[in-house]
Amino acid sequence: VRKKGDSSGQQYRKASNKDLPKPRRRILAIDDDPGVQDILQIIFERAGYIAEIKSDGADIFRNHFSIPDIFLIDKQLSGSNGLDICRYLKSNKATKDIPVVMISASPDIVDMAINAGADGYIEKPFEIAQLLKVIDQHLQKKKGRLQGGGEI
Amino acid sequence: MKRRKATSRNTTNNNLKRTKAVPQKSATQKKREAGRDGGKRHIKSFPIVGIGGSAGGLEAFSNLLEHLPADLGMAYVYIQHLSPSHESFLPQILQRKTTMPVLKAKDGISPQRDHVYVMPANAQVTISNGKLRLQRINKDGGPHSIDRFLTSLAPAYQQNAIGVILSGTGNDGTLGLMAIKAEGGITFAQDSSAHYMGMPNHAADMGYADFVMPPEEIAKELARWNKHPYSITPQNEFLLADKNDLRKIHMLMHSNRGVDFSHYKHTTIHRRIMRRMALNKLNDLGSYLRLLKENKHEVDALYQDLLIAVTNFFRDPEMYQALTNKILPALLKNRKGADPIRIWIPGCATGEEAVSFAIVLLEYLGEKAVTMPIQIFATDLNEKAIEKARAGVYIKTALENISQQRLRRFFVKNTGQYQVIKTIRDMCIFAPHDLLKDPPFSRMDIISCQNVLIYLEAAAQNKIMHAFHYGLKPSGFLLLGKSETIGNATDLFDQPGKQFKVYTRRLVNTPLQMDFSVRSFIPAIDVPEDEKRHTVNQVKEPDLEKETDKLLLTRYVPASVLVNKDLEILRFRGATSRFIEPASGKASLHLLKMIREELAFDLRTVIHRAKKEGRTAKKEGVIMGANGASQEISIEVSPLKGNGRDAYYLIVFKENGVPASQVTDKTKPGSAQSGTAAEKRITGLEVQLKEARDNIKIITEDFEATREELQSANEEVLSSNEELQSINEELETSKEELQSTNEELTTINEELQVRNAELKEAGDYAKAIIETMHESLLMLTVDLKVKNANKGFYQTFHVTAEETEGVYLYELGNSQWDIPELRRQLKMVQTRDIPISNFEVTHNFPRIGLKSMVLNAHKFPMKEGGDSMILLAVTDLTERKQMEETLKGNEERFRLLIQNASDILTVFDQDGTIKYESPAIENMLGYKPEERIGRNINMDPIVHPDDLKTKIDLLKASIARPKENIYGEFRLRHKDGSYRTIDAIFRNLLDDKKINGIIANYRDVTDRRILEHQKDEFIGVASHELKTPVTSIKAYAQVLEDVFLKANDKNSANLLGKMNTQVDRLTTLIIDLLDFTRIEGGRLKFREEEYNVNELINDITEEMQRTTAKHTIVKKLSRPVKIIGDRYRTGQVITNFLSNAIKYSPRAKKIIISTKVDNKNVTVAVQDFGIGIEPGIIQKIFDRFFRITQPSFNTFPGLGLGLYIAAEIIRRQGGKIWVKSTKNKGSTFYFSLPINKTK
Repeated sequence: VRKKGDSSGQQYRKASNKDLPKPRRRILAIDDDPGVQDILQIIFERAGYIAEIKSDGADIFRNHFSIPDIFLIDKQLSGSNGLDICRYLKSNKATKDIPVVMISASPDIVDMAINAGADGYIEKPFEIAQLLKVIDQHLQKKKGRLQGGGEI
Repeated sequence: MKRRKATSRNTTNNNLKRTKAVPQKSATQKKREAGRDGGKRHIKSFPIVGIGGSAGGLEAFSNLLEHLPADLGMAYVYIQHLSPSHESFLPQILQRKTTMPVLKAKDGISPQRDHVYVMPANAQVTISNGKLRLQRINKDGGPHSIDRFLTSLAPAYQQNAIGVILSGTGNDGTLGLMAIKAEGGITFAQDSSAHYMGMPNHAADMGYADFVMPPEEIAKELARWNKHPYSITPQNEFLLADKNDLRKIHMLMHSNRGVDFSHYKHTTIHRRIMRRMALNKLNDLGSYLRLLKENKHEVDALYQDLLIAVTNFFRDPEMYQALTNKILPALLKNRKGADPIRIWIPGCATGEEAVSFAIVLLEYLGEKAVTMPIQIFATDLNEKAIEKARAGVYIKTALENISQQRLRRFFVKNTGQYQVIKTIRDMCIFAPHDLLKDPPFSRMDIISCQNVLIYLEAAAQNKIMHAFHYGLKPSGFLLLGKSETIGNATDLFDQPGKQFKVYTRRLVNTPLQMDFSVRSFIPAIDVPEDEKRHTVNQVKEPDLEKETDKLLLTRYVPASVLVNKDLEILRFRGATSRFIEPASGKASLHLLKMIREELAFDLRTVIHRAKKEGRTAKKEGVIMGANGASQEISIEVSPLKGNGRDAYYLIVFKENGVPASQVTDKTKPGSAQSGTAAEKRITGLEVQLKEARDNIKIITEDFEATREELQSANEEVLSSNEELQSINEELETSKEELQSTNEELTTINEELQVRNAELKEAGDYAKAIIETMHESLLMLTVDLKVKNANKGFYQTFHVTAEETEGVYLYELGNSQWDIPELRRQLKMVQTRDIPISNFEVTHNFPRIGLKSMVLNAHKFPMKEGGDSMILLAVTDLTERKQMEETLKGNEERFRLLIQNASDILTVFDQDGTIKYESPAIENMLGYKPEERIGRNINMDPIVHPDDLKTKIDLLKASIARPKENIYGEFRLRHKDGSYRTIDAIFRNLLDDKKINGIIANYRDVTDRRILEHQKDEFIGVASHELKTPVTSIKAYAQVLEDVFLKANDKNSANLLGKMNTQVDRLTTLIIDLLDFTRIEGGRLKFREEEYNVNELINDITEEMQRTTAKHTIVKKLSRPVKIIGDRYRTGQVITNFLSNAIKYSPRAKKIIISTKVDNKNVTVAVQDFGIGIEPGIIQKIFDRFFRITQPSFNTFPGLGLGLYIAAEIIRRQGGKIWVKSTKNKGSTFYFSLPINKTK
C-alpha cells in the first residue's frame, strides 16, 4: 500500500507543482504515522511548499535539521512527545521565532499547544483547506513579525 | 389577747375568762357589779357605740351620723383604718354631719353622752376603767384596731356595748363583734350598701351580727334600741316576773334542743332572753314565748345566743406551762407506749383549746409522738361550734397568740386563712355533748374544763364534779379555769399547787349521782324559788321570834320525844320523866323499853295507827297510875317527813289536868252506895280485870317476842336490802361505765363511719381496679386453695368462678397449674415468706395452649393473728413474647442485613458527629465501628485532605434539604494507608423520631473507578488510534477529489466527495464516543475564552453548508455579541443542531439559524421543516442513546449521543437547551448561554 501511495504521491506532487507560488516556503513536519507522513508530503508539495517530513524529534534535539519557515508537529509521537519538541524549539534562540503548529487527534490539543508555546494547532482529521489556511496564516504572521522586527 | 391584757389587770375576778358553749352573760357579773363602787357603775349607765370602718367606711359613717338623732344619750367611738403617717381631718369632716360634738380621741378622757370620738391616725384606742386609752401603733400589730377597741369595750360595757362594722376589706371587726355579742351587747354590720363588703360580710357570715342593714337603718335602730327597757335598766327583772312563762321557755328549749338551761346561772339566762326580747322589740315575756312557739328561727337564735362561744389559742399561758412542766412529765413517767394519752376538753367551743393542747403535746413528745397515740375528746353543746372546730380553719387575727414557728409547723395557709394540719385534726375528736345530760367520757388522763362551771348553778357544778371524778383515771388531772373551783367537791379532788387550778383525783369511790337515762323533764326552775322562799322566811324573821320560840319550847312545850322509825329516841322535849324512865338492863333509847309499862300498850297502838295512816294519831284518856295516884293523859303521835325515806315520829304526852285518882274518887262514892253486891261485883270485875291484864301482859309479851323476831327478820331483810343496794350500786356503776363507754363509742363511731365510708370508697376503687385490669390475680389461702380470682384470670385461663373458688391450686382445671417450679417457689412463700418476684414460666395449658407468664406472689397477713393469704399475680406474656420474638427476628434480620451489607451505613447527628457506624466499615476500610463512633466530620483524619470540604459540604447540603438524597464522592483512607474512593448518599432524617440523624450510605467504588479510568483511557487511545488512519483516508480522498476535478472527471470527484462525507461521519462518531465517555466520567474539560457568537455561527454554517447540496442554511443573526465559554464545544452544539436539521428534513430545502440577544442571554435557534418530533418523546430527546426512529424513515444512523452531549455542554456552561416541534412541520432546537460573563 505504501509503495503504491508513494508512487501515486510523486505523480500528484509533480502535477501540482506548476501552480505553486514562488519563492517556495519550507515546512518541517513531524509525524510518526507513515500514512500521515505520506499524505502531508503530497498536500504540501501540491500546495507549493517544500516539505521535509520526520518521524520523530531525534534530529531536532541533535539540531540536525535546517531551519524551515514553519514547523508542523504531531503531539503524540512514538518515542517522544511533540510538545517537548515544540518547547525545545521555542526555547532555542535560532528557532524561537519560527511558527510551530501542533497537530493532534486529541481534542485537548488547544490548551496543550498553547501551554507548550505553540503558535497554532489543528485537529486530526482535518480538511486540507483548513490545514493550508492555518499554515498560511502563520507564515503570513511570521513574515509580518520578521519585517516589523527588522524595522525595530 | 388584747382583751385580756387590757382588762385583767383591772379586774380581780378574772371575770373575762368567759367563753365556752354556755351563755355568755357573765356568771360573775353579779359579783363584779356588787364589788364595784358607784363610779364604775356610773360608767355603764349609758351605752357606748364602737363603730369600725376601713375603705368606704367614712362615707357609711357620715351617712349614719346624718340620720342619728343627737340626743340618744350614747357615746360613739369611730375607729377608722388610717395610714399612720397621714394627718387626719376626720373630726372636721364628720362635724359637718352632726350637731353632736366630734372630738379626736385622747388618752384618759371619759366618753360623754352624745359625743363622737374619732380615733387619731397613729394610735390604737382601747377603753378601760371608763376611760379611753391611746397607745402608739404597734408596727407589727396589723390592721386590727377595730377588733382591739371592741374587745376592750365588750367586757367593760357588756350589754351597753354596741358594735357597728361598716364598709372595709379584710376581716377586722369580726372578733370584736363576737366579743360584744358574747357580753350581751348588740352588733350591727353594714349590708350590701357597703362599697367594700369584706369586713361586714365576714362578721355577718360568722354569725356575729344581730342586724345587717344600711347605715341609715342602723341609725334608726340605735334610736329605737335606746328606748327599749333593756338598754336602760339591765336589772329590771320584772320583765321576767312570770316564772311560769320562764319555765315554759325552758321547756320549749329542752323539747326543741334537748338542752336543759335551767341549770345554768339564772341571771345569765335571763339577760340572754331579755336581749332577744329587745332585739325582737318585745316588752313582755309572754309575747316572747309566743314568738318562740311560732318561730323556729327565734329558737335557733336564742339557742345560739345562749351558747355563743368565745375562746382563744393558749388563752392561759401559765396553764400550758404547767401542762408542759408538771402535768405531762407526771403523766408520762410510768406510761407504756401503746397506752394512749386521753384528754377530754368539755366546752371546747370552736376547738382552739383542743388544738392548743395538741400542739403542746406534739411539741412535748417530739419524736415520740409518732408512737404514742393521743386522743383528744373535745366536746361542746353547740353543734355549729363543733362544725367549725372540725374544719379547723381560723382567720389570722384569731392566731395572734401563736408564734410564727408554731404557725409554720402546725398550720397550712389556705386562701388567706389558716387550717390546722391534718395530724392534729386526726388527733382531735370533736363531738356534741351535754355535760349535764350525757354520760361523761371515762378513763381520761386530763380533763380540761375551762370557764364552763362559771355559768352553772352550784348543783349542776356539783353534778359535773362527780362526772369529772368518774371520768378521770386515778392518776388523772382536772384543769379548771382561773376563776373556777371545785366548789364543795373537796372530797373528790386535791389541789396540789395552790396557784394553778390543777386538781388531782382523790381515790374515793363515789357513784355517779346522775341519772342519765331518759326521764320526764321537770325544769329546775322551781327549786330555786322554793329555796328562795325558804331563805326569805329565815332571813326575814327577826331573832326575837326565834328566842320566843326557844323560851316557849323549853317552858311550855308538852313532854314529847322524837323517834325514828325504829322508835329510837332522838330528842327529848319538855318534862318527859313522868312518862319515860330508863329500863333496867342494857342501856337503850328504845321508846318502848323506856316508856312506863302502863303506857306501852296504848303508845304502841297509837304509833301503829300513825304509821299506818301516815298522819297524826291520838289516844285520849289513857290512865297512868303513878305511886297510887293515877292520872289521865293523852298520847299524840305525829309522823314527820324527814329527807328521803326516813320517817320520824313526834310523840307528845299531854296530861289532862285531872288526876286519875280523883276520877276514881268521884266514882267511888257512887259505888259505896250500891252495897255489897256492888263490892262483889267490883271484886269480880277486879278479878276479871286482873285476868284481862294478865292476858294482855301475855299477849304483849308474845307480841314483844314476835316483834323482836320480826325485828331481827327485818334486820335480815335490811341487810339483804343493803346487799342488794350495794349490788344495785355496783350495777349502777357498771351501767354508768357502759353508758360512758357507749357515749365514747358513739363519738368514735361517728368518726369511724366517716372513715369507713372513705375506706369503702378506697376498697371499691381497688376492687374496680382489680376487676378491670387485664392481669390475673389469685387470692390463695396459706394451704394454696383459691379464695378468689379476678375477671382477668377467668378470661385469660378460660375458667369460671365456680370451678376455681375453693379449689386447690394444683388441681385447678385438670391440674394445669401443677408446675414443679411453681410448686417449689410457692413452697418458699408458704413456709419461709420469701415472695416470688417476676418468675417467668412458659407452660403448656391443656385448654389454652402454651402460655408465657410472669408470676409474682406475696404472702401477707390478713388481719392481726389471723390467717395469712397469698396473693398470686399472673401476667400473661404470651402475646408479648410472640411479638417480642417476631420483633427480635425482624430486628435480627435487619441487623444482619446492615451488618452484612457491603455498604457502610453511617448516622451523623446535626453537628456531624458519627452516632452509628455499620460493621461493614471493617471490611471496607479496616476500622472497627467503635473506632469511628464519636468522630466529627470536621476533624476526620481518614478523609482525604482534598476531599474534606466535599464531604462537609455534602452534610451541609443534606441538612439544608431534608429527606432528599444528596450524592457525592470522596476518598477515605483505609487502615492500611491506601485511599478508597467512596460513593456516598446523604439523607437528612433529623426529623424522623426514630433515627434523628443524617444517614449516609458509603459504597466503595475504588475498583470501579479504576476500571472506568482504564476504559476511558482505552477509548481515548482507541479514538486516537482510529483518528490517525481516518486523517490519512480523509486527506487522500480530498487530494483525489481535487485531482479528479482538475482532470475534469466529475463522476470520480463526486464519488470521492461522498466518501469524504462518510469519513466525516466516522470522525463525528469517534469524537462523540470520546466525548460521551468523558461526560460519563465527569472529565469533559472546558476551556474558557472570549469569542463572538456570530463569528462562530458563520464559521460553522460555512462548513455545514458544504456538507449538503439540498439545503440552504439561512442565517438570521442578531447583533454580534461576545461571550466567555468554550468556543469549540459550543461549536459542536451548533454543528449537532445543524446536522440534525439536515438529517431530519430530507425533503426540505431550507434551514434557518437565528440568534436573539437580550440583557442576559444569547439564544441560538436552528429551525428545520422536517418530520418533527412526537410530543410523547420530546422529553426524552436529550437523553443519551436516544434516537428518533419512525416507520417512514426506518433508520437514521447514529449513536444517539449528539443531543445528549450538546445538552451536557450547554448545561455545563450554565445555559439552557430545549426544543419545540410540530409533527410533520418541523422542529426548532434552541440553546441559550449567559452573556453576563463578558469581560
